[in-house]
Amino acid sequence: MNKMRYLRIGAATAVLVVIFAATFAHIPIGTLCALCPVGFAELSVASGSIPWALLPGVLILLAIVFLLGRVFCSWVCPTSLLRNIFGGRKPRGLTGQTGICSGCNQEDPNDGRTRNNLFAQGIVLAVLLVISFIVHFPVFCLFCPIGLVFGTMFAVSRMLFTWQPGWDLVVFPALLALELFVLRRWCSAICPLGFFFGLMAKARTKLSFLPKVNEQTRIHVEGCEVCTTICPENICAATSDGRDLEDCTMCLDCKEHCPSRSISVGTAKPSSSTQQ
Amino acid sequence: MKSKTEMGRRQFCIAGIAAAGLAVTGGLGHLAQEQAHAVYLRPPGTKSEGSLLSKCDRCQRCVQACPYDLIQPRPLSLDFPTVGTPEVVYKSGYCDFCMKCVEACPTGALSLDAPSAHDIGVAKVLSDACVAWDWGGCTICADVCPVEGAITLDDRGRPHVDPQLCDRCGLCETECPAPSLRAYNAASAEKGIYVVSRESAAAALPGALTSAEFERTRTVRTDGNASGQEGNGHE
Repeated sequence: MNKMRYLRIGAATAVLVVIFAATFAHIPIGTLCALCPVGFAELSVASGSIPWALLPGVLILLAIVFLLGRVFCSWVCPTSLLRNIFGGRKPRGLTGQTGICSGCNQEDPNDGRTRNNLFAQGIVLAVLLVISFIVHFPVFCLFCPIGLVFGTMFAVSRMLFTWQPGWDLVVFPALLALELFVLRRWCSAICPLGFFFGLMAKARTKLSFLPKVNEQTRIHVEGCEVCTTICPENICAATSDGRDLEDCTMCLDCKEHCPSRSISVGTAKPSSSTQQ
Repeated sequence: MKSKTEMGRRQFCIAGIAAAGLAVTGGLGHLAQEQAHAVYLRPPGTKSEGSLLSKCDRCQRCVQACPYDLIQPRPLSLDFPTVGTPEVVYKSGYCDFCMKCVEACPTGALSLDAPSAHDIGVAKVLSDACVAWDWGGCTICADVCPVEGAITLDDRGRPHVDPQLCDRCGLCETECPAPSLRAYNAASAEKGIYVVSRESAAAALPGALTSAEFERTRTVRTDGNASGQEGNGHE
């Protein structure tokens, strides 16, 4: 039960532990911010010069997303770690309080789900780049939940090791809670990192290393909605097409919970069939 | 179909709110920067405050690289756009210019070809916190200073810093015993000698400073309203 959830918590925690341990061991591996495509773009416009040394890390991250899907979102991103621990993985309604399974009363559950909105993320990205260009500092870094997690970590260590408590200890977690648990659509509508990942996912759905459904054993027509309900993106694996699987973050909850064990993860083309 | 567009609209609504929030923050951040007109003691290789702020991606590599734990991410302050950028704090050691922080920086925010790669700070003596200033006898900062002539004692045994020779290694600040020799006094600084940025108003003032003067000027840029603030202080 919930094995995948604990695995995800373990993986994301391990990343944080490694980064924190490196701080004590004086190994300059940097936080996840050193791999951030948004940070790369922001710095380029804010300083007027392209930080080429960041590019390899950024490209590696994007290559991983291209090959494995948005695994970063489920398995590494500290935001998902917090949601896995404290709940609130499901982005429903404006503040996440409406309904259980928005699409399950419809013919195809995938019609009713909240999709990753590239345009909304693109707008946020464009606006933040324009502002960074004007004010000459990376403005999104002040809000980025990933940065806030690291900021909180450093604030806590500052308090524990050199006794310098500050407002960061209150403000960072409060901002994080606002972003993750009040604005539950942060990931699908705001996260500009998601814009880059979404583009990569769009390019890769044809390659596909994705959850796919065995059409012989699936029990969707009998009314099974387990995968749709368990999926943080509300994807109904049984009826999903390429566009739906673009939003898949490879959390593998569907595979774990499928009662007929019809879902496997592989490299074959995803089932493009719709309703039978 | 209807619900799909409706949901899309909600997402655009949230994205719009976020974009507006970013714009407001950008504006406020710009104002906060103008207002603070601040300069902090940065790691070596910093070209200027502005260049550091626009190039630093807050990845904390320099923080991790420093073998002596001298670099800390800046805490949240009213000058909030600087949060997370590296600041040098001489609590646990001193700088031997190993330049590991500069080598670790992936963005060029710290760079070896900055004109001030080695020369970003200067030590200032605080006349009301320094033990030698009151009673004499303490010569620790002059004893430990690795640069000959950077800290000299006058005929009354009081330390003076030669701003030309001082290379802001921070050994004097680390070793200053004033906190353990003096009774706690909230009105005066802890230590008798501190390193500040060369761009700060404190560095521009000649000679030793009082704790009050120092607090007002240590993080204010020299070309800014330091004189105005000083005027207020004297009233």
